Amino acid sequence: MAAKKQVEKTKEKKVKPVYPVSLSGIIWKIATLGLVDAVVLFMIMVMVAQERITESVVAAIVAGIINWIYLRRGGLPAKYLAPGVLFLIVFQVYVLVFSGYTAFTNYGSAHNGDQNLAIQTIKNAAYRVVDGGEDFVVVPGTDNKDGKPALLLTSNVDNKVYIGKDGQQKIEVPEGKFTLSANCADPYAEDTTTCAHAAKTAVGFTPVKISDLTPYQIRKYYSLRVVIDPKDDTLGIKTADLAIASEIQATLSFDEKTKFFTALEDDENGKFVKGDVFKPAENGYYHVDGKIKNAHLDAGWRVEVGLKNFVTIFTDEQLRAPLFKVIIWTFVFAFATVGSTFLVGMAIAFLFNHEKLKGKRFYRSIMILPYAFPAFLSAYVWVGLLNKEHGFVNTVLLGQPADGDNNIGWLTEEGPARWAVLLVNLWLGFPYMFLIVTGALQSIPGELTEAARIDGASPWQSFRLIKLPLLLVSIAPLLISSFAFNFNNFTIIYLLTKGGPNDSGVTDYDVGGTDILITFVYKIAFSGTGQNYGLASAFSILIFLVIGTLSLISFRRTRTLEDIN
Amino acid sequence: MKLGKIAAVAVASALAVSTFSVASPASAVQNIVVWADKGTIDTIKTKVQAWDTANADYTVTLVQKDFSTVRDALKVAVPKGQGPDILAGAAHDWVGNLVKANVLLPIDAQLPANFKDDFVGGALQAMKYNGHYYGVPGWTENIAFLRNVKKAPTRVTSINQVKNGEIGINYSATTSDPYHFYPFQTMFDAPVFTTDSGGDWTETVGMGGTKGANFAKWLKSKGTAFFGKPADAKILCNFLNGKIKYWVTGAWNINAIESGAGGCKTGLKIGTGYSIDPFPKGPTGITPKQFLGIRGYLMVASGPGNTTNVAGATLLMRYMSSEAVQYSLYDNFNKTPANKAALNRAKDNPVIKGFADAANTVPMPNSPAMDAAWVIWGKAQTRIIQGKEAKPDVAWTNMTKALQTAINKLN
Amino acid sequence: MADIAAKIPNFKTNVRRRSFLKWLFTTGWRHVLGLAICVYAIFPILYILSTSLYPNNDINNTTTLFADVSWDNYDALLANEDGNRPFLTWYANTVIIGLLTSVGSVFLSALAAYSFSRLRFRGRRGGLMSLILMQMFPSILGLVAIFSLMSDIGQVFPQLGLNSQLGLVMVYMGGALGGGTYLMYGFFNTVPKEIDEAAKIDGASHARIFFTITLRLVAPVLAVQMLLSYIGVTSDYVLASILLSDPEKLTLATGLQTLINDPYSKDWSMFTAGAILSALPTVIIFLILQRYITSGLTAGATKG
Repeated sequence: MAAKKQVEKTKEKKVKPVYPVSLSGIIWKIATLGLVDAVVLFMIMVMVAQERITESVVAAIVAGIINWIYLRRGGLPAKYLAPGVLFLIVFQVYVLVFSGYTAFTNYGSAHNGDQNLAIQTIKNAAYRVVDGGEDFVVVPGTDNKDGKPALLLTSNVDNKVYIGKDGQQKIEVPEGKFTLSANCADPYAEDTTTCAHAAKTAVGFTPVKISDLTPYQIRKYYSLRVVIDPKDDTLGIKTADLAIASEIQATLSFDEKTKFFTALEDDENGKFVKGDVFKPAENGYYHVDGKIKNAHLDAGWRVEVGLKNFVTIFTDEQLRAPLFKVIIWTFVFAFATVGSTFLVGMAIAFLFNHEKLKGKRFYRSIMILPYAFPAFLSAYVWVGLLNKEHGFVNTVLLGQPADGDNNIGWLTEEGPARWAVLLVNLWLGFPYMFLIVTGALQSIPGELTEAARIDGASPWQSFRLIKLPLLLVSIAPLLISSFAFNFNNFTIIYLLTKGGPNDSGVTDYDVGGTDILITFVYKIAFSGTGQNYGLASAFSILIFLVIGTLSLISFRRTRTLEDIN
Repeated sequence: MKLGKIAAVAVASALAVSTFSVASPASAVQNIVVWADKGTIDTIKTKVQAWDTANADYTVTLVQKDFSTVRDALKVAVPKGQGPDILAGAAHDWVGNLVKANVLLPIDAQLPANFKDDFVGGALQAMKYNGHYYGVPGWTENIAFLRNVKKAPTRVTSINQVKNGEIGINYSATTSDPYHFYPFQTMFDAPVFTTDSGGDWTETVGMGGTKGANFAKWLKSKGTAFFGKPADAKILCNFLNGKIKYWVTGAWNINAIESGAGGCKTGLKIGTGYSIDPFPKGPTGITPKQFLGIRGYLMVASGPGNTTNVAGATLLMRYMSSEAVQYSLYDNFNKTPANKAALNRAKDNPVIKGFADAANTVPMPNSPAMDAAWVIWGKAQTRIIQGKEAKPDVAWTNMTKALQTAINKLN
Repeated sequence: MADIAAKIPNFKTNVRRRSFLKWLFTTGWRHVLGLAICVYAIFPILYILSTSLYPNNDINNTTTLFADVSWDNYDALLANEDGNRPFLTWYANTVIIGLLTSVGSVFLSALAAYSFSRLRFRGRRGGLMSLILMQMFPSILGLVAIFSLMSDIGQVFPQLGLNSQLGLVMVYMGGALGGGTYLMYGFFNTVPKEIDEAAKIDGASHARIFFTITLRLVAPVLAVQMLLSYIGVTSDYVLASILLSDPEKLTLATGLQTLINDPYSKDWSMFTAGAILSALPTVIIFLILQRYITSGLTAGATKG
């Protein structure tokens, strides 16, 4: 009996610490969980109403997991981590995964959606209005005999009135069997006294209001084709907006089964001929016979392209020179920024790490202002200060004439622009370094430096041999993070120079003198030579790998995470 | 036991809250969604609301988007079926790019025959890409050769009569401004792209060869001594004071000229103070052309499925392109009408008349590669002007090759 | 001391001179350098303050500071006569979004940091490391993914999707774990575990210990983290400009941006006045909290 108890006790100790449970805790838990479940249930109901079954199931599973985490005993870490991890997964892990996948696709401006979207786009444009063809004012309605959709057509050529139905030729409505609308046929005609009028009703025809039609019915009207030549089913009178109908010649036919397009006419630019069959090719375009060397239709869709984007990065001649330059500058920029901010910040910290110094608080308040001021505002101020023609720096500090031709182009010439970027980043970054070095200094035990002093070390020796190493060890992780941050410091580069000045030789990539990798890649993704999200994502994966590996190695080396184990 | 109880309470309270479910009301009135930038919304709001009120079958929702990012937003939204029905205030050189991205819907069948005759030369064609029309024009912009009448009482007919330091032209030190320099380029008969038999732009670079090289050489020989230095903020003042005689610019600077700004408080009046002239002929007597920029209304494809708003959207677009509306936009917001009849009425305004009469325009190309083209083209141009290229003709030829590569990549 | 002074006639002045030199060498030069750095630090801010007080200014074109002082720009900004810049609405939006985000994300990362600091579980080291590394992903390129995600969410729940401030807050909170956990983890480590143990023996549940004891002990750090998170929100314009579009939903960063977006009429007067007003409260709070800021920033690293 006693032995058994003993065993139970040790078991309990080994398994997990048991926290007491309080009533108020349970009430809180029920209330919070209940609220969460209520919200999820509500979301599921909305989603089910919209027939989004997969999403509902996922939501239900997530809710189930959350309930399980909080209702079971133990599993404490999960209880603390779950809320943050949930947001992390939805908004960050998802982004990572999405970018990772995109890197292996041709996603971009011209490959923007799935194949169905491309098919839709091609179909939308697979017609032409017959040159010199007749066009009509349209009133949608139904034929009283069979209740089928019909169009009341008034010719803009001779004002004759017809009724047109799908698959049939138009039938003229004789004079007196229709009534004209009081309004002009052209709703925006200036001259309302002499304008032409179109039929609004006719015998045997019931007009309908567009607003009374369901989307399905409207599509019926859009697909309605009034026959012109019974032998030619690619020609017809069609309306695309229920206001005007024109003689339309289809230029491509689509086979719903095979999903192939067939040309019905020779291309006017001479790219393909009547009868050519367009099949999906592996590059996300419809090519003649599905072969990439042949002509293709304009609309593309997103396909997986394997390693193509990565191959481009490593082999594109146009990319090589600018990319090499950008990479070098990115490292220079990140190192120089961390180095300069750290040196200045540290110098100031030592400067002020002096007990008797009066007004320390005052100095510190002023010095941390750049850190408290929103960075994007500061960037604009600096752009103004560094203006070549009238900027304060040139005209007042450097005494150059306003408008002077030889003023320093701080933001418009490559050399000065690089210095300017570093200078501004120093301004933005040194207060942070000052603060963390001060914090670190305070945690270095005074006895150490005291002992060194007694042993006869000069202040410089005591700084170099004792304080600096201790300092570096303790703030190394922050320096690494700062390096990583500046490696990807998009905002400052983009707001100051947009990566420019952009006059460095000829390449079809948009690259400038102060472009770091991230701004360069941003321009690939969002501007310039056609947006290419695939290529940009491939880049971002590589950047992530490089900076992640560098940081991981550095973290390991500083061993600051050792205590975690 | 305890766990079961807690779960039961949780579910019960969940049910209690969930009873506040939403009903989705189906409305017979169709809602037409228009995306536009802030400036465009300010301009068209009154007219759009008037149309909304007059057409009980439709309501219109104006959604403000950032001009510089609206295309990106559109490209993400349309494939998801969340795009608007109309993109208003769109620059016409976006058309090719947007068509390529599957986000526009052709409207050829909705346009009345001879509709293009309603608009000033090329304005409707500017909305055409690959044989289809994708929108209607709203208002236009072009540049002209402005002259300070006091300093230069008569207009110049040849660029040879213009001396160093007499011209002001806005361009950037890094990407120049091929738009403002286009008249000078066409003085050498070097159009940016070739044109097909119908006069529409192709995607073959047309400014290479001897003619382009000649322009490049001329550009270098003139340099900043002739065109002034890049990013010169003092052009306005210099023009007002008569330090420069001519200014290559558009209607957007007229307010500043007439009221005076930027430290030069006294403005100039049209006629007595300044005049809006056509560009002088080139060194060999070729009449130059300017780009016509058109801001218009584009029909947005609704993605997979739903195409029911086309009817209303077309009506609204045709309303916005009508004479009455375009005249009103001129009257209230000084937008130069693209509609011919409206423009003729607006010509009682000497500024509008000046720019219209000075116009020997071609619409800017709307190839999908235009974003890239402006940068590549301008980069070479500005280097030549600033004397950074020892061999301007070679630099120019290299530029045309790089541009063709960039365009081919998109095809 | 007094005896020696009496014997040497020149002593007093000597001492004074020498003590001035001594002062110069020990603390004086620190003041000189300190002032110099202060000038560097504050100058751009004085510059924007000065331009904001100058009617019809151009930020690229001001050469004399405080040449003209008037409140015209501020009056015009707050009056919002043409109805295009609801500055106060932007202000309120920013405060609400900023507060929700900072409170929410600090809470989330405090929870996580607590578990990393106090609990022992498998994947703990890896988890913490992954959080740090995930921050190194070039997030600017995630814009397409974020936009697409929010647009999907908006299809089901318009209240949370595009053009929704709550949606924006959620996106910001996605970065919460990576942003603050590591620093806070370090700070939790500095709180002696014995306090927890004692409370546990007294019969407190883990949640009670966390909420009523540990969190209170680190309150200053939480405040600093919130402030930094808040500054982050006020500075962000990339995400906000992608997600928000209605003028009355914008934040200060995105709203002020619209004032200078039009290449033909950049309204620097309004922009500079708005910039000063938007930075003012954060700067003041920053200065009030500055005593804690040093520890708030370094705790994670130096004591971790």
